[in-house]
Amino acid sequence: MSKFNLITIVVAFLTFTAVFNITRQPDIIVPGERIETTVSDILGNDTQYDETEIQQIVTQAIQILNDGQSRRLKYLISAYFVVWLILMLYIFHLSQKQEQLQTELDLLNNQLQPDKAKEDRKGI
Amino acid sequence: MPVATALYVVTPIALFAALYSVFGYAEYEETMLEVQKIFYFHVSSAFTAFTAFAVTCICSIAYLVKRCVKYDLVAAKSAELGLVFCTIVLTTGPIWARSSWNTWWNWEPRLTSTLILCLTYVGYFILRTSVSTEQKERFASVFGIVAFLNVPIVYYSVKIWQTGGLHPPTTTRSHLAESMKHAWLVSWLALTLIYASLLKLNIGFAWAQYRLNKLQARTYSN
Amino acid sequence: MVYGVAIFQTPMIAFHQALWLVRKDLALHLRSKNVLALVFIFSLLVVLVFNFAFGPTPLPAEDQGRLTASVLWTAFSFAGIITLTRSIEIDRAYGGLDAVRLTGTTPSLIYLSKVVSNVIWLTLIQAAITPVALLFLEALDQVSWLSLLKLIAVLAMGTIGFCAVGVILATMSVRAGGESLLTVILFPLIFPVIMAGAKCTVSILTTSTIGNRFWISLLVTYSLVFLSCSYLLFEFVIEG
Repeated sequence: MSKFNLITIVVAFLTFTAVFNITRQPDIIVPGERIETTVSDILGNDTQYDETEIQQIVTQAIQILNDGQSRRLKYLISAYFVVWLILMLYIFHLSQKQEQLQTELDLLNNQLQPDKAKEDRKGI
Repeated sequence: MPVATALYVVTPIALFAALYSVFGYAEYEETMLEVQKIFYFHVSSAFTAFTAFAVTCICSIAYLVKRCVKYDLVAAKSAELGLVFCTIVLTTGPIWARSSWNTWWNWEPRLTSTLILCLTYVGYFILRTSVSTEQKERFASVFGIVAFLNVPIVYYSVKIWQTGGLHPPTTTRSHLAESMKHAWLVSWLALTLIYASLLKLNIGFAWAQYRLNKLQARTYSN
Repeated sequence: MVYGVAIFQTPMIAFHQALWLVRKDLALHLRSKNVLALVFIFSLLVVLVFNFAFGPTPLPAEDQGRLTASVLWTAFSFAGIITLTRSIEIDRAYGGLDAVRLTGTTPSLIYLSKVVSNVIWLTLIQAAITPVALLFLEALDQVSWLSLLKLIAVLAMGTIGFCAVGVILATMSVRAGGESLLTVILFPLIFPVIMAGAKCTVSILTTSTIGNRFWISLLVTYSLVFLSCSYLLFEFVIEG
């Protein structure tokens, strides 16, 4: 695999994960009981409430839980991104070594070919 | 090379299976929810690094007994891969610690002993590069054996050292649900297969490089 | 004939050979008294650097104990590196090691004698430095003679573990990279000794007891494991 191909793959992968991390807002998947507990935390011991207040409080709760989730997801994606990055950097390092090996082999072949030709001539 | 081909085919399959089981099959943990999913690859990497260093130790013993250069090459490449997996552990560990316990580094036994392990095998490579070629293999093999013996001692001593004070609670594997255990096993299998494939690739390169060096020495000395 | 001597070696002969090797090593150490002065002053300077970095006012007893333990173990780790490198170097100079090998002594015996001589040498240095360090760190009042003896015993046990690994690694690294290479490859392996030793030192300085038994058993286990492992591996290191 040539260096250019590998670089393209790595850059594409990095761009994809970066864009994914920054732009995407996932839907909330927090279970209903967490929304309930967050709402009752905000309400406190106050039992007097009306409809609009309830709406505001529930929206606030969803906002808090959403922020928490997006923060957690950012950390999760960073961790997986790091794992992939390290593995890819290592494979890149391996491809560098392979190219170096190939260059040395070509050099040696060029050295050997003239000798081989000389020997063939001597045989005649 | 049917074994090698089979390995290179099975590894991506196992990796996809691991990713699916982590994200699609394992359930969420109550307190940490999504962030807990880092644990699957974090702990699996630690185990794989340990396996890699065990292979280094075994190959070092084999080299000292048989004096076949290929054993030494396998030992060196396995140690290199072990360092790669150690790096993964040491980078995902603080990310997980930051997201769950709000500190970057909390001297958790696993992280601390991985750090010491990483430093030990960096020393292994520094030894290999500093010492001249005739002694390199012998010295590296001896160091590989001694360093691996240190691993369980370091792990247990760091565990007791760390519990001597107030520290945030570390996760224990015994609290895992069934689906999480299965997902963890699959991810461990995937990472071990990645290690095996990379090792096979690496050994191929190292052996080719070794033969090329010998050929060059013979050619240029004539 | 040389191999015959090695194979039919009785324990008594081996013991005498080891004793003579230890005597030789200690004599070589004593010959270069400037190195003794160097290590002594070096350890003292490390203690003083920590003292100046930390400030003149003494801390509460437990924190002062922890500071003293960390200072002592840092100073002795570095002093140990210098001593080990020096002991291998002076043996290699003028072909001393080759001469010893020609006598038919097993390499494992050479290893054990080196460990013993380095432990004796380092323990002497530690016994000299420790009271001075405690004086500077204002910890001498809290320590009775019995505690001081216990402290030196713990330091000696740590030194056995240190030298068990240090001798074989120093033999590998002396020709190649010297002290810097030895520091890089030795310190990660020596962390359990430092952990255990520092914990024991802290408890001796603060409570005059050894404290958690685990650390002593760790020191003993560590020394046994690495002594036996290096005993078997030393012949591969010096065969070249």
